[in-house]
Amino acid sequence: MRSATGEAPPVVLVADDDEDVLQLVAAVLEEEGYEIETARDGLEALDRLSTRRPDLALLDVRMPGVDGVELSRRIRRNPRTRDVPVILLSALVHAKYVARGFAAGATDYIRKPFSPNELIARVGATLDR
Amino acid sequence: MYFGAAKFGLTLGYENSSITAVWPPTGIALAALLLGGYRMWPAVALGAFLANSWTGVPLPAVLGIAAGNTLEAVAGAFLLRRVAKFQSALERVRDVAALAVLAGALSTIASATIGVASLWLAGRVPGGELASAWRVWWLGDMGGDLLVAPALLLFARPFRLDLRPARIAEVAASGSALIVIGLLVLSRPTPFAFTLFPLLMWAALRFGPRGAALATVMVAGIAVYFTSRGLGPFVRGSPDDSLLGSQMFMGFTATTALLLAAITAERERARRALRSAHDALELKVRERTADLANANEALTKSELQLAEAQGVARIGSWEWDIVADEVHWSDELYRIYGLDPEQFGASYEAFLARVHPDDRQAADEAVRTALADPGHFDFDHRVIRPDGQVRILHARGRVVVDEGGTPVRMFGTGHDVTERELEEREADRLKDEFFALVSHELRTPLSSVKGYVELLLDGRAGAETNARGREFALTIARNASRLESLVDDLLFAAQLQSGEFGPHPEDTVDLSELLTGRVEAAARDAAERTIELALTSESSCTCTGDRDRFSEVFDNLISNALTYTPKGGRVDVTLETSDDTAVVSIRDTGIGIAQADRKRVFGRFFRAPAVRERIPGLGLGLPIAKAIAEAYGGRIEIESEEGAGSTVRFEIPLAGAVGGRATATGTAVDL
Repeated sequence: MRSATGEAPPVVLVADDDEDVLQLVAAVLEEEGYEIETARDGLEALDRLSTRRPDLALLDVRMPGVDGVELSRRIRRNPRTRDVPVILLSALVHAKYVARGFAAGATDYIRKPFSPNELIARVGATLDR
Repeated sequence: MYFGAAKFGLTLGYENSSITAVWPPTGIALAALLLGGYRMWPAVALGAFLANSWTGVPLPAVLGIAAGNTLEAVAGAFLLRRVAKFQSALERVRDVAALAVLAGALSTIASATIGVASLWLAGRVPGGELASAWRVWWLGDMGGDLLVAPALLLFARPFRLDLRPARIAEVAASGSALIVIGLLVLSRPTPFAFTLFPLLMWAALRFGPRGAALATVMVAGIAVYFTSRGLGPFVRGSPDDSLLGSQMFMGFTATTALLLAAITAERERARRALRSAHDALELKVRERTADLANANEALTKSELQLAEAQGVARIGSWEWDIVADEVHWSDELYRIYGLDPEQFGASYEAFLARVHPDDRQAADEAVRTALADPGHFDFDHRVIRPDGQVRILHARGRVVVDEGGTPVRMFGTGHDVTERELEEREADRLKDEFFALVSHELRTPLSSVKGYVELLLDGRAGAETNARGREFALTIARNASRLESLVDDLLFAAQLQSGEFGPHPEDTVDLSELLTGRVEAAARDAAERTIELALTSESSCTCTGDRDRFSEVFDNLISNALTYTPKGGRVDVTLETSDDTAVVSIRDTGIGIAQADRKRVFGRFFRAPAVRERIPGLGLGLPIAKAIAEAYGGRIEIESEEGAGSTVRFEIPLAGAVGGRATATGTAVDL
């Protein structure tokens, strides 16, 4: 679904400590025409964020170091990234975790396990594509 | 032998004097008849005849005298035996009195009269001396009965000699004193015969009837000896007067001594009887006291054991006298309630006042139900101790009714299950924490499985598969879904238990549409099992609830019905409305649920023993369905007949219905 107008594809930062899930998300979204930046833990994600401002951050909640919820909070606090939509991705499916994610500034919350089609739909909706 | 004795006696008597103060044969004859029976009379008669025949008296007179002597002895024995029920031991006053009156005074009249008359007829007694002769004869025979007969009777009875030195010395002292003083006072004309009385009393009181008889025989012997020689205090001008004095003396001496002995014996007997009665009583008292002490000890011991057992088991016992409204508690129950007996009002109301306010009504209801339907009952309740600590008790009880069926008493136990309860809750908490962790950890790899399979099936990201590969991928996808729903159930069950279920999404759910979708989704499964699955639904029926959860519940219920229904059976899903409630029924023709399991199927992880091995599952479908129904103000019921099938009724209030909305509350008890 690459833009025919030659417009630069949206950049999506994907952070997950599970390599398989990371590759899955990357593969699905790349096929959809997104440009993917990957990170394998919270600190790496912060590093990516400081070098390049993504159009969307797709963060796993449970990661070593800085977790997805904390990352979301920092993205919101940083004036440069304040407007970057954040989608949290987690196996913590209980409503109280979902609520905590939204409180930290997340735009959406996808429960694991997820269907690739659902992922595409939610990312698309968030980026209003 | 009796003949010999009688002859010797008669001879002896005759040798002393033709007219003697004492006529021993009378006593011997009486003793012989009393000891040997009436059959001894011929010996008596023969002895009397022979003895008298030597005196030179004409034969007719001898015969008369012998007849008189015999008649006297027979009459005396008869009167004593028949009239007086005589006992030869002479230990009763009545025996002594009978001997003196019936034998001594009465029977001797016969001998005296016949004997004197015989002599008079033979011309041996002059007419003018008849009265005097009769008197001498009568008193002489009386002396025989009173002196000789008792000694013979008493010493003929078996007795034991008391051979203690002190006793022998006393006998010797008393005997020799009697002989010495007897010789002194009875050989002189001075009237000091009465000095013998203390000695006779001594013999009578100390040595009983035998002593009395022996002493009087000795005194009589001495008196007769001196009197017959014209010596002693009884000698008067005429021999008759002398005889009268000594006979009177001896008669009264013997009677008095025998009476004294009898009285003493009677008193001794009474004393012994009293003593033995007293001893028996005392023994009985001691025995009873010992029994009582043993019983008390046993009781104390068993009470101690009971108290210790109650303490170890943390079970207190109670009893309620319903009529008097008095409550009795064991020490352990007081300990469990943290109360002192004086702090507790010991009534039913006082008990209720100690129950946790939240449990008070339920406890009261349990008791009232038991009263209305007497029998066994049990219920759980919490109590608040005076220090504010809360204990959890399991109470059990039984109602006792009177003949009319009215409850009069209630008794039972209170088991402090606080620690156990807390441990169970802690174990539950750990289990739920574990489930939450496990379900989370399982989700991550499931994400990959599910995601990559979908890529394969959709041919995304350059994935390529042939038809066979797609088939395999489908199988993987189906199993991944099953795994996911199991993990979901596990987590949900953990949330239910910890009271974390909620907040509840409130969608408006069209049940008719939802059920149509669920039945369609299960159609393939039903077809594979050749089970007919049909839906009967009202056209439109909306309620408020969580669409996803409702879907899950119906999927579960339909899946259950299909699982437990054999091939060729049918499953009917119906949706109807009743008042302001929607009722979804899932009816199957399956194996049904055993009566005993019907209540337990709503418990977490319950699997019916009959299917546990054959049919996989976690046992969470029904408890989750129940929790969801209740979370949205509905309920779930199950009807079943073993072997015929089951019907699950899921009821939920219709959208816009007033009331009925209850929230699922945590079952955790706050302590």
